[in-house]
Amino acid sequence: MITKDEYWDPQMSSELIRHILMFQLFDSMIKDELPDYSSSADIFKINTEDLENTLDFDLSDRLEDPKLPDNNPLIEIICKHTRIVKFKKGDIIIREGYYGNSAFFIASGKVAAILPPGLINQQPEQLPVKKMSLFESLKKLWNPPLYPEQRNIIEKNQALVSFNAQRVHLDNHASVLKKNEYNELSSGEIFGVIAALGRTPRTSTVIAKTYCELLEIRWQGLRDLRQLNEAFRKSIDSLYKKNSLLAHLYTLPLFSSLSRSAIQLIAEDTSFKRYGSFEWQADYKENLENNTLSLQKSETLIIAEGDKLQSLYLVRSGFARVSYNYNNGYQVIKYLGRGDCFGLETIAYNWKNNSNLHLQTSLHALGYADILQVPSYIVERMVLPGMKEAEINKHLNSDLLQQFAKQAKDSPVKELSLNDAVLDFMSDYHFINGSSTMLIDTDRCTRCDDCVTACASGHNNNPRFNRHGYRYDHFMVANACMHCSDPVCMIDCPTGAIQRNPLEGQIIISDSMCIGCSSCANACPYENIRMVQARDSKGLPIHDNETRQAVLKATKCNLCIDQLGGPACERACPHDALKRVDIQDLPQMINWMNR
Amino acid sequence: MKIQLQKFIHKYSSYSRPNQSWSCGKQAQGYQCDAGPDAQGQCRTQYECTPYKKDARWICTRNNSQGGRCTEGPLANGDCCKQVVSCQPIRSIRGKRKLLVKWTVFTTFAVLIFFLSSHLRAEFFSPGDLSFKHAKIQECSTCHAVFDTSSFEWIKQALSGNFLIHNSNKCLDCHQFGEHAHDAHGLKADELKQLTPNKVKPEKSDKKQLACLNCHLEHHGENTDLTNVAKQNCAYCHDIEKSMTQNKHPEFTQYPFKQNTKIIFDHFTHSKKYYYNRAGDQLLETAPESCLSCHKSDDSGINMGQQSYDNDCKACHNEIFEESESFIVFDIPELAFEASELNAQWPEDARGTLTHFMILLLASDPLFTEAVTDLEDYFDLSELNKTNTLKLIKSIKNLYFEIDNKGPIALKQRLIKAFNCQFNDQGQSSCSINETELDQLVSLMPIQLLCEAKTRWFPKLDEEYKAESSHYCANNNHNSESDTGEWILEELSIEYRPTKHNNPLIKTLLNLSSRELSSALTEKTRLELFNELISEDASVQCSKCHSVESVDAKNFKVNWPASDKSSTQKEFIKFRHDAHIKYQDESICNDCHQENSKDGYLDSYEDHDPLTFESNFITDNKACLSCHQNSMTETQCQTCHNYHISPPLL
Amino acid sequence: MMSFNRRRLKNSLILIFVSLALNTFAMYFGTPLYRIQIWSGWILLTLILLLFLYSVRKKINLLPIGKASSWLQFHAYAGLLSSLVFLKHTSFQLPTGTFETLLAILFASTALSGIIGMIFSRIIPLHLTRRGEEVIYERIPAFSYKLKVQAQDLVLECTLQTNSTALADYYQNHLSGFFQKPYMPLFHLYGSMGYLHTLEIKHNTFCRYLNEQENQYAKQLFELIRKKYDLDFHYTLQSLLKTWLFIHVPLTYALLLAMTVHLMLIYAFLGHLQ
Repeated sequence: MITKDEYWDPQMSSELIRHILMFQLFDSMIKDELPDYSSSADIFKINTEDLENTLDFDLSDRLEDPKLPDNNPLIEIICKHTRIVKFKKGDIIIREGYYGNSAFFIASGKVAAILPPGLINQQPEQLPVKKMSLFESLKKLWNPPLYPEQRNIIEKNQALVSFNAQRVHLDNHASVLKKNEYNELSSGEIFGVIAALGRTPRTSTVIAKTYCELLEIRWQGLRDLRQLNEAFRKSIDSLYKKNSLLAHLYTLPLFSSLSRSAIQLIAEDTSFKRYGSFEWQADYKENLENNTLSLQKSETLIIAEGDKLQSLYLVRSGFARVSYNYNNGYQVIKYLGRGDCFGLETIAYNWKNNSNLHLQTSLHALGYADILQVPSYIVERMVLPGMKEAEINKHLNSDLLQQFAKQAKDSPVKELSLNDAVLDFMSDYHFINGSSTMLIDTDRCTRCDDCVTACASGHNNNPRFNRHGYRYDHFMVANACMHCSDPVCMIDCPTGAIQRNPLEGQIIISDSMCIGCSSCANACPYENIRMVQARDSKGLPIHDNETRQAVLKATKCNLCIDQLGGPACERACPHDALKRVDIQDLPQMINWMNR
Repeated sequence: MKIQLQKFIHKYSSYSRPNQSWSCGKQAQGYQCDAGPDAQGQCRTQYECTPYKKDARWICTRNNSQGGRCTEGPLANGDCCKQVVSCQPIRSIRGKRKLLVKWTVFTTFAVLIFFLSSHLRAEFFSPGDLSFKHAKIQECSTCHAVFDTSSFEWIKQALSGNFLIHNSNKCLDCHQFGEHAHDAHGLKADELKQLTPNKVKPEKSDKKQLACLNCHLEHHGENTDLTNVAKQNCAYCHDIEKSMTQNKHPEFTQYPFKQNTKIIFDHFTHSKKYYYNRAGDQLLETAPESCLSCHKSDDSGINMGQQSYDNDCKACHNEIFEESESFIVFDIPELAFEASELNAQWPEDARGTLTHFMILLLASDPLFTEAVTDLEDYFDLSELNKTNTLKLIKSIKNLYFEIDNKGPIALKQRLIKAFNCQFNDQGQSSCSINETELDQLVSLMPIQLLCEAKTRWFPKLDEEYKAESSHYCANNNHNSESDTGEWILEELSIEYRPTKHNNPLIKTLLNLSSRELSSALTEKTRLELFNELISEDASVQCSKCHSVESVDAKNFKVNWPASDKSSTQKEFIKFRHDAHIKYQDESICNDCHQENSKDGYLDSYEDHDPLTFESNFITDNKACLSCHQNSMTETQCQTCHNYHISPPLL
Repeated sequence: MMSFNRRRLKNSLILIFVSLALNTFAMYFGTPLYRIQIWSGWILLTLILLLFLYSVRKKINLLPIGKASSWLQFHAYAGLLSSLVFLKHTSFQLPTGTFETLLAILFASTALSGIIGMIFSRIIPLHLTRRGEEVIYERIPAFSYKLKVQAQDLVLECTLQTNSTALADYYQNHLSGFFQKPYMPLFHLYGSMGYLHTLEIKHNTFCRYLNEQENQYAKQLFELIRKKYDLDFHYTLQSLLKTWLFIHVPLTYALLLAMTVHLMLIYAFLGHLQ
């Protein structure tokens, strides 16, 4: 039985639930019929009469009866994971490039989804996360709690990301809509699915064209609805694929010179394939135990070295490893993340020199990779002719080709460099996921624990990481949340306490919303989330009133998002031994390692 | 087989909390306590769970991580069935360090407070032993006034902003440097100027006062020499930068001479000419053999003064006195009228003039002053009218009468009046000689001759005066026997001839006449007398060797001694001749004292200003540098320079 | 980002420049009338307070007041500068008087402990990385206990499986002390493997009396010995890294107190320069 406390929107009444149930969205769940999903607008049409069949109660009766049945999964999902949100004309609903955890179903009104190139440089400044003032910081320092994990059980909702509070209005929305091409969506349609399901940033900005009433479904809801209803799952998945493909193609700098129609043509011939497992963390843990993390033992091959290249491979999300075969192993050259492409050099080389060079490297999926394959003839016909000579040369002279040439001449014994070895290490352990991985140089670290103490001082005397972790040579990746690009910890959270900051993408756990189920802690493949017992002011564990079990909370590094100075650990290390590194930014990391 | 001790899995590795001061004592055995120690380091876990009552039943609430609900369940009274042995919590590293810091602070504080308030504080806080010269001082309060009070007073004193000078005052309790101890060189400003004529006041010396403690720092151990002052301290006023940075001592300008020598003696005319015979090829017998024949170091070894006239000069110069001429002291002036016309007794054929001395003696008589009021030239009495002439005659006769009546005292009184001398009990006098000197002068007067002269020249004096004379002349046989000069009674005058050096009569006369007098008559006379005595025409020209200084336009000073330095007066430069020239060849004097090629020595005395001078000798600092290179540049200024000039007295 | 070598060079040059500047200042303006002591004293006091500020900064890490590593660079070089100023302040002479000697000793030991600590901080981590598993210091007793339990279990199992108490006896007689708790013998300070070698020889000598099955256990036991040896190594060196601060930090506070009293005495009994 679901209690009011678990409602996502505490104001939700049973009347509202009934109102929601009337939405076209739930039609397929109620009718259990495969809808025609050629056009998204038809998917969710509803027939009221058939509503009753699936719901297993007489809707007309219940329409007057305020009490709704318990234990109905659909109603549970609605209560726990949906809410009504209203937007005025001109409000920005979602913003391109930001992170979001929910999809929106249009109940009434019209919205405009700005088509690429989008408004990325024209949007007004989003309000940043509220940081503590100097006075508050000093107060915190003056009187730290005596005992660990002290909680005042009656706490205000600490959600750092409060959607309703931060409504951003575009004053010149009318002119914006005039100047930019957009897709108009009206009632019955759904948007925002890509970011919610894919754990990726929003692909376009959506502005309310008229006053509109939207049903916001957060991704746990989408997940549960997908599980509940096969038809819904299929339709959502196909929508996801279609939209994400197009959206991704629009964002590529490679296709920036092409017109929209050209891109749409390309999109028709492009295929979307997912390699590896979307829930890769389970495999990861197993591989870790069996010590089969390295490439040859565990990863999914996308295309091998020596194969003929038929298409250009674009990484839509996830990670892929570019490596070449050396003896019986693989040497990582680099890894690719979202937005990167593979094979362009080879295609360009072949096109320019009219040759038939085969692939010199292989591509493996790390964890999972959503790959878009654009046939090479399209690239040769439509993309390369439009590119400037200098740019083509740049690709031809890229690192990869240089290295091939070099290796061909070099002696068979490969020179091992630390940088390459660290890359291998990072890839094997999937640390490349991290956008602020904590690297500790153990040749400089005096084990003074100043970083831990500093972390603790920012979190009511509780440290939020452990100074241990896997180590390669003298670089240790500590067990501190890496704020992954692909945060698998968020997958199973029942309450949505673990959220992604829309601005910069930090993963934050809201302490008051957390119920201590340990899903995130178990899900995190890197063991960076730790469960703690909440304690009272005397330092004794707090026990839940009913179950008498200790109240647990999930905790992890939050990059000191609410503090003045930024991550305290980095600033506190006296010997420059600790750094929060964005693994995607290789040059910076290598620079730091070689200082 | 690779053993991994540290598991990263979150279930097995919760946060390590180095910031907590206490941790469970059973951690070493891998036991994870729920509650942990309290802030004071006491273990609080007694049971594994805290049972709660539901529907009259007690339920175990042991954590899932500890094993979940136990099978036995709580006891009937509500206690948990599983007791836990309390641990002994251990301090974390930081906790231990915090404790150590607290104890260190406490101990240091306690030690300091203890010593600040105990009687041992003098020994404890003393920054070092006193120099052995102060070893007699046992009490700190001898120098530090505030020492015997409480430590709070010390703190107050520290905060009061007192200066070095306040703390230096106690030094002056024993070391008396006079009233001006904190002034530059311990001297009053104008005194300092006086002692250093021709020196420019250092620019930087317009500063506030200098405390003893600015330069003399005690408490640096027994063997400290407190007088060893760092040379940079001199730089506070004096510009000695060159010597500090370029190793250059300033050039000597006229050192060691500050002014003209008091005795005029041209060394080089003597050594090159006068010591030789007329032909110039043979040294006279009376000539000195070397510098040291005349110059010998005094008792202090510092100065190489001349010895005496008898030793140094007499051999050659005595004939001045032996062959001196006499000069008239008392005379009968020629009058414009005949005695018969005046109807007064006057010696016949008087052809003399009033002498200066006579005028001065007569000036106290109003008759005389009336008589000569209008006279321009006191030596030409032809313009006097009868009345005045008569008055003049009378006044002269008064003089002789008084001599007969009172004796030498009459002269003394007259001189006192003439020179406006007042003597007080402390020996101070308002004229330039003291009473003793005046008495000596008077005693040298030829009373006997004056008496004879009176009888001869004014035979009827007694009758004319009808006053009762005490007949000094008749009753006393005043013989002024002096071996330095002789009086000669001529027919109508009494003359004096100095016969020896250091003639007290001439000396006293010169001293008396060197000072300005108030009345026009006496002032004119004394100036003429003075000029006569110092001129070349004088019987003995003292000023040929004894230089005359003009103190101001009207006043002069004859320099009798070669040096008027008191032996207790310290010099700014300390230089001991004897230490330098002992066992040396006689030619060593020339190493430092070289001939000044400029030949202006004698001429420089003409303006009577001692400060404009050209010495016979020049001294180059190269002579010093050859041995004192180090002292003159690197080490203390004090090797040669004194700071304290005023004599210290213990 | 500046490499460590460049940063070291830059900071050393700054230090040399500043000390030369101060020395020149002292030569020209310092000494007249005792000023050099007063000036150098105040500069020293300021430097010591700035050095102390570093420990204050560590406590208020929340505020954006610059990175701790920059502060440490300043702390280290200012510490060296303060040593030079101290030598100038004491005119390169030994102090006289009980209290002043105490003050000088406090300063000298603080400065020396700081320099030694800095050397430790640069040398020891290299050794820690290159040997043994990375362990958190506070957990070493727990790990040691774990190893002990593992060793005991191992020899017990061996006894049960092979019906022979030889290995267990060997453990009891020769190794139980070794596994008892974490040790920090001096030889770990210079990374000596001598004792391990001794244990190995002993072990190999004993293994001749074991059969193949027992030898398997003996091999595993030796792995545990090796692990414990490395653990002790970490324990020793990490203890050194932690305990040098036990000298440096308390001495700082004592120095500050003594310095205040010194200041009070100077101004009470000497006074201000006018």
